[in-house]
Amino acid sequence: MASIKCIKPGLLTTIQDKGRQAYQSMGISASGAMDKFAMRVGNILVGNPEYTPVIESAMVGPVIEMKFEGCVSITGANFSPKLNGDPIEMWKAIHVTPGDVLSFGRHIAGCLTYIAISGGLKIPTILGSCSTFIRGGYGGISGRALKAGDEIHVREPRISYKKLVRKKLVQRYILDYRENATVRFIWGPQDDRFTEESKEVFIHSSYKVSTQSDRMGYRMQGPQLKHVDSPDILSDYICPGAIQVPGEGQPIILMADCQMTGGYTKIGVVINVDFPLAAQCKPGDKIHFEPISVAEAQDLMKQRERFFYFLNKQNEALI
Amino acid sequence: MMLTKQFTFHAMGDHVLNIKFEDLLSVDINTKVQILRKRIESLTISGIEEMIPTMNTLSVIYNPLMIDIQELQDKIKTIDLSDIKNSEEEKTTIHIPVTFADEYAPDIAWICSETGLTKNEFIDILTSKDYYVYMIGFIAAAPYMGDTDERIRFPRRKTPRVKVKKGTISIAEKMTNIYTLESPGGWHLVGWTPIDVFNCRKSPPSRLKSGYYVKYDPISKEMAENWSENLQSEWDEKWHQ
Repeated sequence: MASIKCIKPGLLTTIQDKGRQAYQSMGISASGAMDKFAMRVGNILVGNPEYTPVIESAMVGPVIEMKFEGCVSITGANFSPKLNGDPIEMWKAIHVTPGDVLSFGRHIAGCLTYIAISGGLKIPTILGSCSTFIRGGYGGISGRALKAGDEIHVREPRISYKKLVRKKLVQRYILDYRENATVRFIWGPQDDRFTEESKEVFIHSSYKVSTQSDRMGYRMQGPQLKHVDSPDILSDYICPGAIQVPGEGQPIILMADCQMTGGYTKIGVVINVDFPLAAQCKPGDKIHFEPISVAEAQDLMKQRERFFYFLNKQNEALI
Repeated sequence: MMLTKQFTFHAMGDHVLNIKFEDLLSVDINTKVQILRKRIESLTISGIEEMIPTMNTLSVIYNPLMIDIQELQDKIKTIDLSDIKNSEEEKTTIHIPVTFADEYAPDIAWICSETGLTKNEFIDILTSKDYYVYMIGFIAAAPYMGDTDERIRFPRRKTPRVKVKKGTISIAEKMTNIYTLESPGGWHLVGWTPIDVFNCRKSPPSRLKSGYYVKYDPISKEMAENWSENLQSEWDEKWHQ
């Protein structure tokens, strides 16, 4: 049967898809791919529906043996991907045959690389998603990261690899993952709980991603932010991208696996189209936060969705 | 419009609208959150993807490609909540069997020494009332319930525990909670329930919903440790028919 086999797992390699958005109202963390841009493009390149489960790997990529003929794509962070030891291009459909080994080399840019497989991985659905949620111990493969020896079945593709090989994303649409990222955000919902001076400091400084960062949240280090009175609020909803500031005044960007409720003030929320740029910052990278309006952010989101609409449309013509 | 004064709108990023009521933890206000959710649902506004009720806020996740934030607010503003009576919601009470055996309730001894209560007095106080579920949240359907009796309210522990067993009943300030997964925790641990309050393989995954009431019923340690599907069905038949 068509499958892939994990030879070496890398640092933290999990199965992710769109996540559990629809279950947040029941108190469930959303999870899902951190860089959904990379996941969606990756899937489209190999002919899959854009939210098909993919492999997400942080900082050190895995070694994976292919036991099927089809195609794969590597998107997101650049960890110098190789097939049978030879460098392969990213953001492109790559033909693979049984016995081929995918591996990674030197770290070039970003934090999270994505491997999409034509046909998609066969993973049971828990709470509407295949996403691994390690803290909850469910999703993906038994709620854990990949380990050596794991074998995952690959589904029958809806489009033959012959129609997809060499399909690639035009260079200018590839996201630019930088060590000094500018990430746009919208003030609120509790920005009025910060002093005016602190709000100025927040948008005119850079914050470093600390080593205490994971799929739940990126802790930032930089100039201290001061609350007008207290950092606490009655617990309310937290969406991934929310920038929460506890009492010690250092912001935390909540990420895909974040708790969905919390009692700290949120100075702002990263806009949808820039969430992948924040997610791709690794410990030590710096983020400059730039405020924009809801209307501007939504225009950018509409442009982004139009882009995906056309990418998907090309695939529909091939089915 | 006068009606809008009952709640205020706050954008939370580019695809969430927070509808916030008064800054108070109260059953009346939370009931309004629940009813507002139902009334928005009944308007079937296209473009709304999810609605997430919390303590005094309703968060509406919407698709900006389908609805404009101003249009969304205008539609919600037409809802009048001034006619709400608390009796409007039928009261649902879920009974949770709890053992208070020492090994499952490591903080009762401390509570007794702080308050001068005996263990039995503490258990009586904790189990004599039912608790309103203000919110289901955190990472896996944790129920935030209240209000506990004033005699048993304490701030959270200064040093959280690294590991708290799934099913542990805890208290802090005026709230009580049930750990739905094994996790770190800073609340005071006062009992344990053998029942699955949250099960990711069930639909719905949580037995509790915000707006429900919860009553803790003491059971013996032996009964808790030997809890079975049979006992569960008997329990549900007795309390939840």
